[in-house]
Order: sequence, then C-alpha cells, then structure tokens
Amino acid sequence: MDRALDPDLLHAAVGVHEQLPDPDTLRQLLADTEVNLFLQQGDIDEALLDTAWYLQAVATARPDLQIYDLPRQRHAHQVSGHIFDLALQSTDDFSTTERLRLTLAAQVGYLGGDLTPNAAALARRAPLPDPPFDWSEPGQMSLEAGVLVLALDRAATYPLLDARRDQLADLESEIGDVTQTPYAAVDGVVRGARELINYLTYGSREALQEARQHLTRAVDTPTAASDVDSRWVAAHLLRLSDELQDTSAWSALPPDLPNLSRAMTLGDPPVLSLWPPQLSFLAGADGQPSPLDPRARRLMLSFPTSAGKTLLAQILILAHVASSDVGNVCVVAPTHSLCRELANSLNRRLRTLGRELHIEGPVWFEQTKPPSDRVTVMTPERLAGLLRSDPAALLHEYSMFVIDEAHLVAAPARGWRLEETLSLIHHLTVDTDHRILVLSAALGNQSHVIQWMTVDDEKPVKHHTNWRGPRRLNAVYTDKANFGEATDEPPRGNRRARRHVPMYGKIHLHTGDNTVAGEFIEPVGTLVLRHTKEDKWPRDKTESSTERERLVPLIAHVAQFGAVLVVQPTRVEAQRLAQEVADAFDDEDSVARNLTDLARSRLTEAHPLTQIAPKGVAFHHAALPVDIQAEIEDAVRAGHIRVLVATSTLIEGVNLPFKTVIVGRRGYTDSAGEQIESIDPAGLLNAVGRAGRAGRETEGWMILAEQSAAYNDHMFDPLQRTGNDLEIRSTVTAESALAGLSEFEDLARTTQDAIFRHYDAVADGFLSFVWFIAQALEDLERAVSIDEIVAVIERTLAWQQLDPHQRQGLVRAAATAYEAFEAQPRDQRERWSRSGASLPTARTLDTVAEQLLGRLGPDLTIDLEDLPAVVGFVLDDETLTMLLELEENTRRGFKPYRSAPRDNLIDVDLRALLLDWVAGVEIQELADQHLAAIPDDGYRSEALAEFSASVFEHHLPWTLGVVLQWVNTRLDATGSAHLLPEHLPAAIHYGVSTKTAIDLMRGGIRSRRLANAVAIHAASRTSDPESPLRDWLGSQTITDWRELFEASPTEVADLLSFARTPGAQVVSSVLEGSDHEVPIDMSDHSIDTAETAALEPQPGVPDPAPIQVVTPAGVIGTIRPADHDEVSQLLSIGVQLNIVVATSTTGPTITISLAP
Amino acid sequence: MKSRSLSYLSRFSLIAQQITDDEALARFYGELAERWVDRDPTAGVGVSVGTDSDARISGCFDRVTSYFEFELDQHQAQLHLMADFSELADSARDEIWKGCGSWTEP
Repeated sequence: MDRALDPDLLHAAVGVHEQLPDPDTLRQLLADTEVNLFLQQGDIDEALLDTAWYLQAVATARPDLQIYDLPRQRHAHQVSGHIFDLALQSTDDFSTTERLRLTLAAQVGYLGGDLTPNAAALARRAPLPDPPFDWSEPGQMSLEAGVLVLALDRAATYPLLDARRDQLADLESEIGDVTQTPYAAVDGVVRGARELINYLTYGSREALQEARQHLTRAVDTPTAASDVDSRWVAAHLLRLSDELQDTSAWSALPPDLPNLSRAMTLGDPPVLSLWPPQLSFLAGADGQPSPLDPRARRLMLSFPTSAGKTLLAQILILAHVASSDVGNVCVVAPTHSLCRELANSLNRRLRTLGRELHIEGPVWFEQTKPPSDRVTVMTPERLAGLLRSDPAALLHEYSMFVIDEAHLVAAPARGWRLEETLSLIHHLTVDTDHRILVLSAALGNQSHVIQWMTVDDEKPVKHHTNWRGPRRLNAVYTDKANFGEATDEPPRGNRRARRHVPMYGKIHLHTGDNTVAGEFIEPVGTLVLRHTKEDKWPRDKTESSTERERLVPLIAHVAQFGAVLVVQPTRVEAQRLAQEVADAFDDEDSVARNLTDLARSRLTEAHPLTQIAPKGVAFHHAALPVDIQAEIEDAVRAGHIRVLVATSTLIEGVNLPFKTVIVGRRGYTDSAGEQIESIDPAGLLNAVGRAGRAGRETEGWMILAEQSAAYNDHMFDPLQRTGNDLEIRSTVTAESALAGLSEFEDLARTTQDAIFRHYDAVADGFLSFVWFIAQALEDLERAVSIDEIVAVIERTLAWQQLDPHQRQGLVRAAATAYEAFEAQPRDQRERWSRSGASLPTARTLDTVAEQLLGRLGPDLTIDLEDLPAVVGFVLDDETLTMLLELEENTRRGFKPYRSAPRDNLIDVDLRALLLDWVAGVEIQELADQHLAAIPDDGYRSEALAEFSASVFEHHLPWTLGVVLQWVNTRLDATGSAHLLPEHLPAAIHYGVSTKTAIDLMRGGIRSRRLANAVAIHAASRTSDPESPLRDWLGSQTITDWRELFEASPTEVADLLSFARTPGAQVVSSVLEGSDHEVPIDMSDHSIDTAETAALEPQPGVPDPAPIQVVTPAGVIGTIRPADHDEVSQLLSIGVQLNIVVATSTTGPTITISLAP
Repeated sequence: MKSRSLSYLSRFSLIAQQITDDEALARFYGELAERWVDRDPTAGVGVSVGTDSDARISGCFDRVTSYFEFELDQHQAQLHLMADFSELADSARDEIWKGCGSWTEP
C-alpha cells in the first residue's frame, strides 16, 4: 500500500474536525482521486484542498509554541504535499498564480515530510517563466523565485533572480528606496533567495546570515503588508533556512574535506541538499562509525532505487580520493551500459577536483596491469581478469573496491564470477586497509550477506532503508469481456458464425483494506467466439485480441503522462509489443531522430528498431549491440523515448527515468515445455524501483498486467515485497551446481580427466576457482595447501548459506580439484587458471594456441599491420570452428526464421562473415551478402545483430585474447622478432580494421561507421600526418566533423569527449577561484581585449552545438573542440561566470572566472 | 471566499506567527486554521463592502450566512458608502503604483 493512503498516517495528520472529511473518507477521496486522475476523469474535490491547507497550517505552526507535536507536523506535511500535488495534476483550471501557490505549498509539504526530491520534481511541472523574464505582479514573482529555490535548481534560479534584481534596481532609480514601498516584500524575497542559493553553493555563513535578514524584512515590512504571497514565500524560506543549512553538503560532510563538499555543490548535477537516508548514513547512525572514516573497511548500502544510493557511493568514492593518497578506487558495475553511466556521472564530479576517471574496456588479456587512474570503472568480468592476471598488482593499485548491484551474485549466469572475485579480494584484504563497499537495491538486512562481509568480529558498516522520494502507486491491470455488448456475425459460406465481445480494461489500486478500480471507457480488445457444429461457443484464438494487443491501449494511455517502461519475458515478445505500440501512435516523434539515424546505420533500414524509433518507441535487450543499447538509454534519459519495451536486462541497474512501469507476463514456456521465470523477485523489485524517478516525478505507477485471470487481491502480493523479503542465494547453493560438483567427485574416482569435463556451469566455475585460488596464493608467495584454499572458500557467500553436510561436499570437491592442479605441469596450470575459462575450455584453447604456433612457423610471413589479413590467418576454418564450439559460446549460427528450432541452422560461411565484419563492411551489406537465406528482412537484421553482439563482440575476442597472449608469450620466449598484434581481439570486438579505429572506439566512440570513417581520413591527411589523432581531431571544428565524417549529433558528442585535452582543468581551476585561460578559434571579427563576453551555443545547430564567444560586437569566435566538454560542463553547473576576452602569445583567448 | 478561506488563513497564519514577539498572540495566529475547521466560537466571518453613497443597497449581506456554517452571531458585516467611490479607487491605485509608469500594472 502506498504510504499516502495509510489510514494511521491520515488519522495522525488530520484528526477529526467538523469542517473536514474524516480520515476514512479522506482516504477514499484520495484513492478515488488517484484513479480518476489516472483515467483523466476528474477534478480535485474541494474538501481535499481545504484539508491540505488546514494541514499546512498545522505543519508550519511554530514548533516552539508546541501547538502540535513534531510527528504530527511531519505527517501533516506529507499528506498536505500529496494533496496539493494531486490538485496540480487535476484538470482544474487554476490561474498561474494559484498554480504557483499550490506548487510552493506542495514543495513545502514534501520538504517537511522528508521527501526532499519531490520538491524538485514539482518545479518541473510549474508554470515558470522563460527568459527574458517579463515583469509581473510582485506576489507571482516571489512565488516563482520560491518554487525555484525550493527545487534547489541553481541553474534556473540565478538567471531569474538576477533579472528580478536588475528590474527592482531600475524601479528603485525611479521611485527611490523600494524597501519603503509595496515592493519591499518581493525585493526581500529576491535578495534573500539569492543569498540562500549562494550559501548552499559556496558554504558561506555570511550569505546565510544575509539571506535571513532579507527574508525577515520581506515578511515584516508594513508597506508591503498587502503582498501576502511574497510575505508567505519569505516566511517559508526563512523557516526552511535552518533545515536547508542542516541538510546542505557544507554541513553534512566533514569540514576537513572542503573539496568534497565543493564536488557535491559545484559538481554536475549540483547537490545542494542531501536526502534523509543519506544524511542518516553519513552521520553514522545506530552507533556505527561514519562510513567516511577510513577505518570502516567493509560497508554495505542497501537502498531501494531512487533513494540516493548512487550519490552516496559517489560521496564515499570522492572522500576516498580527496582524503588519501594511499590508493585508487575500483568501481564495479554489472554491464557496460551501467559502467558508462556511472563513469559519466562520477566524472562530472571528479573534474571539479581536477581528477581523472578511466573506464575499462571489455575483458581481454591484452591489458594485464590495472589502470592507475584515481578511479576506474569496470565490469565484474574485467575485475576478475585483472585479479587472475596479477592479484598483487591489483591490490597494490586499488585501496577501495565499490561493487554496485551486488545482489547479482545471485544471478544464475554471472553470479558466481562476481562472488568468487569479491570473496577472494575480501579474503586477501582481511589484514589490510583495503575498503570494500557493497551496494544494492535488493540486499535487505540479510544476515548471510552481513556475515559474508564480516572481517573476523568486525561487522560491516551497513545501512538499509526503505525510503524513497516519489510515492509509488501499485496497480493491477485486468481486462474482462462484456457479454452484454456482444454482437453476432452470421455464418457466411464456409465461415461459421462468430460472436464479437468487446473487452474492457480495468485498473485496480490497492488501498490497504480495499481496492479502488476504474474502467477504461473504450474497449481494449475483442474476444471472438466461434459457433461450432455442437452448438458451443469456444474462443477463436486466431481472431481474438491477444494479451499483448490488449495491453497496447493501456500503454498508449499512460504514455501521455510520461515515459513508460514495459517489461516482457522474452526478446521476441519485447520486439513484437514495441512494434504494436508504435503502430498505435499516429504521429512521428522527431526528437528520437538520433536513435533512428544510428539504428539505420548500425542495424540496417529493415531492422525493427529502425522502423519504430521515429515514433519514440524502442525495445531493449541483451542481444542488441552495446552501442545501440547505450544510445537507447541516452534517448530515454533525454526524454526522447515515450515507450521502451525491454527484457529484464535493462532493469538490472541502469538508472533510467520512467513515470510508469508495466510488467506483463513474468515468464514463458521453453521448448521443453518448462515454465521459465524470466523476471525473478529481485528483478521485479528492481522494475518496481524504476517507477517514478526521484527529482523528476513525485509519483510512479507500477502496473502488473494480469490479463489471464479474474481480479483478486492476491495479485498485489508480488508488489508488496521489499529488499528485506528477497533472499540473495549464492549460485553455488543451487541444486544443479551441487549435483555437478558431486558428479565431478564421482567421476574423479575413475578418471584423472574428470577435471576437464563439463558439468553444470556454476560447478565448472567453482572448480576453475579452486585452481585460481591455488595459483593466486602461489603468485602472492603464500603457502598453498588445501587448508589455505578452504580458508578462501569459507569467505564466500555460498559457505554462509550451505549446511555442514553441503560444506563438506564443497571441501571434498575443492580437494579433488586441487589434487588435479598439483598433478598438472606448472606452466599449463598457471595459464589455465588465469584464463578465466572453465578448465576444459582452457585446455581446448591451449590446443588452439599450439596449432597456431605450429602454423606460424619460425618466420611470420603475414603483414602484421593488416588486421583483417591477420584475423584471416589466425582464425582459419578449423580454429574458428573450435572456438565457436566451445561450451561457453551460446550461438553457433543462424536460424532461417525466428521460431525455427535451435538446431535448424542455415548454411552461412561464418568465416567470410567475420572477415567482412572486421573489414568494416556496413551492416546492411553484411546482412544482404551473407544471410540472403533468411527470407524475412527484419529477422535477418535482427539475427545478424544478435550474432555479432554475442560472438563478434564477446566470445571470439575473449577466447582469441587468451590464445594470443599464450602464443605471444611463447614467441617472446623463443626470441621471435615479431609478435601477433595484441589488439586483434579489439578489431573483432569493434568490427574495425585499423589500429586508429580501435583507438577511437576505445576512446568512447560508439559508432563503428564513424571510427572507420575518421580512421580513413586520418590515414590520408596531408597536414601534420604525424600528429596524434586527438590533436588532429582537436584542430578541426564541430562543423568540419559534421561535413567530413557525416557525424550525427551523438557521434559529435562522442568525438568531443574523445578530443578533450587529457588532464584539462578548466572546471576545477575556475571553481577553485582561479582565472582560467581558454584559447578560442577566431571568427572574422577583430577582438577588443578586456571586453566581457558571454558563451552561448550556436543557434540553429543541433546539440552539441559549437559554443560561441559573444561580445556586444557580435560573435568573435568559438571554443575549440578540445575544450568544449569542460566549458560545456562549467556552463551547465549554473554558477555565474565572468568571461573576459584576452590575447596570449598563442592567440586569442578568453579568461573565465567565477563572478563575485 | 468559502473556497479560499483555508488557503488564506493558512498563509496568513504562517506570516503572522513570524512577526510577533507576543507568544500568546503567536499561539492564536498558529491556531487560526484549527479554530476555523472546528467552528470554534472564536471563529467567524466578516464581510466589508464599499460602494457609492447613492448605490441602491438592499440585503447585500443576506446570503453570507448560507455559505458559512457558523452560528448567526459569528457573522459580522460592514457597509461603507462613499460620495465618489470610483475617484477614491483611482487615487488609491495611483498611490500604490506611484512611480511605476514604466511597468505594466498587474
């Protein structure tokens, strides 16, 4: 049940009064209003609004007068915020002033009710003015300022307040001191609000003091007595100034780390106030040490989505970076998408400290040393790879490990890899100062996990909360045939009679002890019954609307209010539903153009995504290429996607905003007839968390579609779970894994080769882990014995969760695997345990390496610069077949059509396809040339995209990387003059043919087409051909890029990021208070030095547009691409800047500094 | 008036509590909304009408009692008749907006 409908809360807040609805009536009114607003069928009841204003009076009564107790005042805040918010969403025709008044009242309610982010979300819907900010009625001007201040939206607040300040100064020059006029109150609000934002930004106590003085004057100037709105705004800001002081980064973070506070308030996006659970964790609640204390070596954060977990992690990371020189931070996130998102957000804070972040690429052996940047973001597989390569180097490089989405240790496919890596790091750092921070939305307060992360008797510093800003409304959607409206279709020829029964959709909202429901006016589908010879009327499956079709009207309805995520059990269903939703939209949505362009170039015109993207609809699943997934995620973040239909891949932690989440069927029946649960309880909890994003929306709808049964209250049960209810089970505790280990043990009694057989995938992983522990202990020059190995196994989560009998089984399997390790020649076992593959696969890869060495002979005769040729040589037919047949590869070829059985594969020359892929052949051409045997255009593109994502981008680079490393080690040992190019796997992964293109892709360029295009131009450049690629790109302009490479806006953004000067310190240096010189590209204008200028995006050019330097004389130049990213960030932070034109020895510049 | 009464009382209550040093008075201001919704004997409605002295006035307060559910003695009303009401309105407006010629009046 939603907290806003909690009867106890309503009773505690409102009480019983003659003139107001009683708590039960109020709850019913609220629930009815929610449903009516959802169905767009109603206004707000006047009695509700009266209650809200009464509650605000209760909530804001002076605490020292003790008229009401504090808990009641907090409840009153929450309920009033909710009602005002509902009023703002109603169809009532409020005036602008009234709407602003209600917005401010709702903000006050949410802030006082500890629901801070909702205040910002409300401002997004408020009727706020745009520049040039015309003069308006004083009360309205104050309300506008108040709403922006309470939203803590500095970037919007400063320009508005500055404009008002100038307007009031003009007025003063005409009528004299405004503080003696009816304008005194608005003047006080404007000045006070500005000083309040100054305090929150820079932490100056003087600013806070001044703010209070101005606001006090505004409340209490007799000449402005009639300006009730301005005085009301001032009274609220004055009242809230204490609270804002307490929750600001300047108060909540340690005063000895001012850089940390600055990174929060001046980073991007600015954090001017922390949320309640963040404050309580940082304060070291429940007698625990502060998490910022370096002595807290193990930390666990279990926060639901939208509770501010990511920001807390950023604070801990930045505190570590800002306070110590003892080591760097390694941040681990489960997917490349999430890594990229984390890296981008962290980078925009690190830059305020003048620090750099690095994002690690995929998991190849090419790079065995951990990067030495202060913060590095990588996947669990990459961390595992680095740990296997050189555990000592890893522990030397990093002194803090941050594991995001740690509940994925329970994920069947990848969980064990994360668990083994984390367990080994945990074990190896028991006696050191290394810190491990484990984050999850679904860990709850689980004793096993706490026990897992306990070091001897030192329990982890943990914090668990169920707090979230936006309220969440859980609903169930059902549909039902209305037989009263059935129409009969008479028989015609051979066609038997049909009965058409319209079906209506119904939304059910649970309110604790009862349910409120509302029905859609229009039918959502039709049930068709067929008249049989036996005079029966069974359902006609082919003509009745499918469940999916009946879901479309609901999706189209909720899409009007904000972005919708629909979760489907399989890729195929996700794509089909997305297509049907797109068909339901008549209009094209031009804002999704970037995604459409990229899909067309990357996936072909015929690909289903290219077809639906122009409608603002997309689908998302793991088989899409990574750059397309990232582009879709960007498009959602930018608000360019109305409806996204995804499989569970997306909900594993990518922080995407959706107003509504709809979960359709949660499972499917596989080919063997078994029911597979594709969205497990943790996945569902994560999906639930996506509904209503903090700071963007005040409420989120989570709708469970239950279309196959009549409604009953138990349908809500899956939505009632919290992180506490979910048990995170180690994958090793699964029956199949334990059975696999037992099978291994049995077989080992009869054959020495048992270790090289495949069992259950997790069992294979466990056996390989045992080898790796032994190898790591050897590497670290520690004693190796079965006891030492078991000591590591005891550090796993599995160990905490197995019973004594099962633990014995684990120990026996480990002992047997260790015997096999000892029996293996040292060089082989070292290679195989480092490979990260299962042991049988490692042995096969060894054979591949031997064969390749044999084929290479003593002299290499191939041109090592010609990457496609080297790929062709290394991956001959036999080698390619061996690699594709490895157990770890899930795709062996192409089916002729989507529903064909898995073993019905068409004849495709996979090697030729691979070579064309590496040669950079466009995706459409690849599909046409190699997959002509697939008749359906859409499926052809889709099958190619899925194959390349799985085989070219993952399996082949990984296995080939292992083989190459072994081959090169041998070549090196034999004194060979040439080694195989170590970036060969990268050429396959990215599908590019040159080292230059690989460098571009590694540097963040996501489009294969662009990388190849830039590489071709770079190779043929005539001017300064030896200059580094980055400098060469940086010497051009954005306009050049658009023309030369036909770069789309997304591609330009990637190029800007690539061309950024490494180590550039524009942001940090300006924010530290220095004057920073930035060179500019001159236009034809001559420049007057010392002239002030403004920086503005070039008008009429799609984002990212060149940043122009504008003086009163006109546009005098543009910021160079190398500085664009930094300058752009500085502008988006929203602080006031002084920009002065200058010249230096190298040419014209601008000097940027903070305005006083 | 009826639909805005709690909104006004709530806003006024906050302002008034902050500008007085008299605790009893502040408490009274803080309880305004409470007294209103409970139909406290201290709550009531007052209506003031200003108009031209030659206006034809008849039963201008008759319906006040039907809007607010208070006892009869909780209703108060005032009637001000002025010789030239529109001139007064204009001069009051001029006074308030003195010097604001450059701005559009709200």
